[in-house]
Amino acid sequence: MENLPVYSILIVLPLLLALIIPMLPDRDRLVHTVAVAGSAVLWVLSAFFWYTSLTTPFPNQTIPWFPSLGINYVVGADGLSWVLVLLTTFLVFLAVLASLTSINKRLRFYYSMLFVLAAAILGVFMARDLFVFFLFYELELIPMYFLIAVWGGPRRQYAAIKFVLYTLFGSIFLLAATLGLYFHAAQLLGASTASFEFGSLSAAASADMAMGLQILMFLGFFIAFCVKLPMVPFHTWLPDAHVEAPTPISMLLAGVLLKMGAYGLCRFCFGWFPDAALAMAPYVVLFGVINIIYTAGVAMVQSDLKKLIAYSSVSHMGFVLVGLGALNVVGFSGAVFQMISHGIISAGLFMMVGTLYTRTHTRLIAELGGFAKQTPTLYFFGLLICLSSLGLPLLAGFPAETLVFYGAFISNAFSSINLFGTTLDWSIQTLTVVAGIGVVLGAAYLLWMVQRVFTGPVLPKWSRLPDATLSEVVVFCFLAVAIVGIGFFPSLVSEQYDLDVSLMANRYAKPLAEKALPEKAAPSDQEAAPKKAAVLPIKPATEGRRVSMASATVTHPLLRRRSSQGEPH
Amino acid sequence: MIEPNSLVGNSVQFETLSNVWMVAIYPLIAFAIIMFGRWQGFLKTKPVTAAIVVLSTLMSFLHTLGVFNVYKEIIGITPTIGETFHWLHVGALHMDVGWMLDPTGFMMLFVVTVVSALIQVYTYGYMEEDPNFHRFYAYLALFNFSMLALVLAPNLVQMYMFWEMVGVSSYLLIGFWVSRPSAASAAVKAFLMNRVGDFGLLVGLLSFTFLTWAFWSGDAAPGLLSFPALGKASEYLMLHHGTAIFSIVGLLIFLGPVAKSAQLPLHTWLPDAMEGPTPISALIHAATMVAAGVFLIARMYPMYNMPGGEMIMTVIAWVGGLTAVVAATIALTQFDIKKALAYSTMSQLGYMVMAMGLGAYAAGLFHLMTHAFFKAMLFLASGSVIHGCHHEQDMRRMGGLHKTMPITAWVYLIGTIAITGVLPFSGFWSKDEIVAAAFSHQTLLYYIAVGTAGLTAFYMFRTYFMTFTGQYRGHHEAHESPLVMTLPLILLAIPSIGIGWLLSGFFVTDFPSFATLITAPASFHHHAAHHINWTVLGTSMVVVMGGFAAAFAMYSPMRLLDPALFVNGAKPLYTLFSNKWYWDEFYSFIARQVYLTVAQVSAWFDKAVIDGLVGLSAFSVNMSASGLRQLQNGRVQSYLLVFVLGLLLLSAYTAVQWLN
Repeated sequence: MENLPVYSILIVLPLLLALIIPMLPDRDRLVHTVAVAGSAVLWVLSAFFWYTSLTTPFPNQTIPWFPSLGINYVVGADGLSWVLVLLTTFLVFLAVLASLTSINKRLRFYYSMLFVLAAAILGVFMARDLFVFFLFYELELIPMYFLIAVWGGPRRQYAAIKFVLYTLFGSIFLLAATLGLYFHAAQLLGASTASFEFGSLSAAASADMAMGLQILMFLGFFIAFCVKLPMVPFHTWLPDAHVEAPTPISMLLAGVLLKMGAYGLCRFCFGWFPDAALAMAPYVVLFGVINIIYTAGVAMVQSDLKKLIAYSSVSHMGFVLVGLGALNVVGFSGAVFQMISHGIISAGLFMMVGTLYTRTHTRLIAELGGFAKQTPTLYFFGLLICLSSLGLPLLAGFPAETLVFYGAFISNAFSSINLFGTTLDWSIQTLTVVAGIGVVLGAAYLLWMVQRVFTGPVLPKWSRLPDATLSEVVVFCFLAVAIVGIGFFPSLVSEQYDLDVSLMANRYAKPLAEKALPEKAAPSDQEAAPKKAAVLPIKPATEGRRVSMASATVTHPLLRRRSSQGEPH
Repeated sequence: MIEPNSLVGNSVQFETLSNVWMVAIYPLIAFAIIMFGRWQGFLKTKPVTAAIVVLSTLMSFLHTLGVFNVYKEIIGITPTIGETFHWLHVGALHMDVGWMLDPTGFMMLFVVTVVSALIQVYTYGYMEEDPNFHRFYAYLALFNFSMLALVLAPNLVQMYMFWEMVGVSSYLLIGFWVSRPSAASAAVKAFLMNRVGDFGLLVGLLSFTFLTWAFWSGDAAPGLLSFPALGKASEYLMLHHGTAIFSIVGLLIFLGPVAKSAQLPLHTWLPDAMEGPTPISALIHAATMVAAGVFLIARMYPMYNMPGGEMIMTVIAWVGGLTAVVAATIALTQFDIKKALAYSTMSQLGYMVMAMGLGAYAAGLFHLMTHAFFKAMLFLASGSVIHGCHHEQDMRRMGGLHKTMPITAWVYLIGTIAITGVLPFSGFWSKDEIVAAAFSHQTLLYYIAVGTAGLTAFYMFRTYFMTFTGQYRGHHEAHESPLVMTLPLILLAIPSIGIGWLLSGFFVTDFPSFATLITAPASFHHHAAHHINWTVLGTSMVVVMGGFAAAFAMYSPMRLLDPALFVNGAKPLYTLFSNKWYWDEFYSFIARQVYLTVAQVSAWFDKAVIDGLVGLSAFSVNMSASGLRQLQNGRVQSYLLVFVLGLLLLSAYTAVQWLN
């Protein structure tokens, strides 16, 4: 078991499925069955591997690829990666189930592309070499292009091209930052020993990097992932892509593709460049708040149901930015939690829209109404998911938002922000209060939507529509169980990546504590007790459950070199 | 997961009391059974569904009783018992859930379970014909779970969670008749307005946590925002951040109760909430959930009532007082029986909040308790009337129902007398203590309290006379409700009459009085007057009799005075009152005109500017490409032309250079 290349198995299995499915005979039932079975196996297998890794962690798998260029195929997973891998396989399974009713042309090609997409996403989450990461990150575009452009709505060509070009625009920055970081590492280590491996690059990032360069690198990664997240003003590809994409693809797009951006921000921007992150935190939080408030307003007045949900999805991703900008373990934990919650909830919301669309063939809210009476099962699940999305306690959205809010509030990441040369007295707490308005706005547009779509008298034109089918109920049930389960027992999720975010936050504890010191000495605070501010005592990570990214950097040879290295090269 | 807890002092009792959280779980189990049973289709008979829910409530009640018996043994040792479990621990942020009980908590548990159980029985008669009967009972169970867990909350974290959960139960039940557009709007309005209050509450809790973070993050720190530690934390807050910040934080938290208990200015959802079925109006929007705001203020007493918190207390008292009088003025003009009762609820909640603000802890909670009984009964009686009159709610089309619905009429009369505060009915004892507290603290509030008592007497007897006396003005034949509905009414009439003098400590001396049982936490509380203030009593009695006399003159069958006289005589005032002081218009303006315009502009900005720029960049690439393509047209002549033009330009440039 220990020698099993589990990570590669999880990546190769969907690729194999993508190869096999086109070779099947063209019988819809068979193709569907194989796809469902394959995705179920993928899900169960990933859960099994994850469960095994809790007791005996699997080592990273390394296969030399272009050793002379420092490029190796390295895959592995820490807690942060595992939760996202599990989310991905879970949602791929549900997306396949959702495809049973919503996809009915060119099935073999469709499932083939869907599994390539799954492999690429899993690759992104499990890559431990930045070059491999980049390849998987780009690979995802190809199936996604086809999935939108072939099975999409009337403007599918436009949406698909816009999606691909926009992501590629971001990828330029990713590539530039990747290469820059590699050359920086090569300069420190010598070209023969440098590699694209995460450990090497993160060590290089934290060693002797000039502030300007660090900020440049940070921004490179940041822009790339903010397009994916998406962050205002780089978000306009998303509503178009969602509106045109078929339901299962929307579920995956909102559920896991956006998380690639969030994951990248978490892993690289905030994991590797603490100094730059410290400097940029005010802007990250500010953009997070803009995301939450501004897109909530835009969502409010959408006449297209799917666009409304798409904008709400953008709005909720703002919490990830706010959580990350808090620079402490609670905020980071909240950001990751939001990735998971948002993944499940937004998949559910798009599923809800999809089920309505397959019945009515319209997405215009003005034409809908009365579905609570007409389709009570859909109403029940739709309402549950909406309530979860607006952050109702005991459902999945609440712990994420709570952690983000508390994390940001107890943080001392910044107490002022410099905009266009003027220093404004906006602390992270002030900005978080503004973000809190999003809680009210989120409730407003979601419940107003529920009111217009579901309540009211049954409209004559929809009075013959059937309630949820079995496969729809199954999808909804899985989602509902996940939402309620996470809501009741959030620590089941947060414990999985606790160690990783703690290690990440540890790197900020010292600079933030130093920042808090001058405040303490301020004369206005005469009898001030020791202000502990945001320095969180981290639970002693004795178990060492997994080989974590950040702990790997401690033992990296680069750090030992660093002490001996006197003058710059 | 289970942690030995710091709240319980006595380890022997701990064993007996270790599963008190089950009190809240029974209704949750009932909810799950009904939802699952309906989905799987094995739950088909209505009595079974009703029985499951009523049984779960009875279980909660009996369990509470059992715990109370154990608690009585140790009452002198540990006034507060409890137990907490990890819910979400990240870094130093320790969020716990669990249960905590003290006399106030027990009182709330008893009120909630008793009133719930009776209303659940009543519901069987009221909702029997409804096609979504089972769903209704499921929601009732969900509400019970949320409310009981709210009462049991050992810290503000759990309080906030279930604060929202009772809010959503209320949303679901107001909008229960999903095909009624007005019900859907009312439900959304209730939820959103409560969300605004919850936003204040959330920001308050976050600020509190932030400002006292050192207190919660130490090695032996108590669980985040736990009630037993609240007093110490508040002292810390006061010491390090001063009175101004202390007051701001306290008032932010108070925004939660303002919305939940329908106080000014976040009150307009409560009258609209009457769109829900009447049992809901009785249970959630009169007896229990709306009183949760008062309960939260009680739980916040260690903070609000400490030296330096006077500013917070003053604001609370005034908000309560103003709400009491404003709501009473609106109630004068209502013709919908449920709306009139809703404004009366709001007014009575104002009394409670005012009492809490005046430091009359026991009086406020005493009124909460008596009000829960008689207002639940009044609502259920109004439901009985509505049921008997075939869903008629307008009092102008009722009248004379005393003959056809004698039981309902009698209990309604009892409720009316109780709420008016006539000796010896329950409302007298609790309201009198509040008025007395106002008398000894704030003269102006005392006048408001007494004046409102007069208004209360007027509008309550007005509803009674219009509904039950005189000639029947409706079209359908009215009938008395079945026993399943009248029995809970009769049972509720008992505490409405008797609970006041039983617990007042004057007549039944071997039973402890409410004021000695329920005492404010910490040692700073004002001492409530334990003796009857005859001046206050006399004054309020006279005013109440005045209100009754006015109602009798205008609305009793004798009709000594024509109400129209007053309506026309004070036209501007009447217009103001009957239009509910124009609050709805104000909020509607904010929401529709202001915010929706902002949203429209953002949507336009998003489409035209942001996406426009994206489109423009794509367009410019496209255009420049097609522009550049013109150069590569493959014709030698045009290449030659460009060549010659270039040559000429170059020569001209050189010539100019040379000439200079």
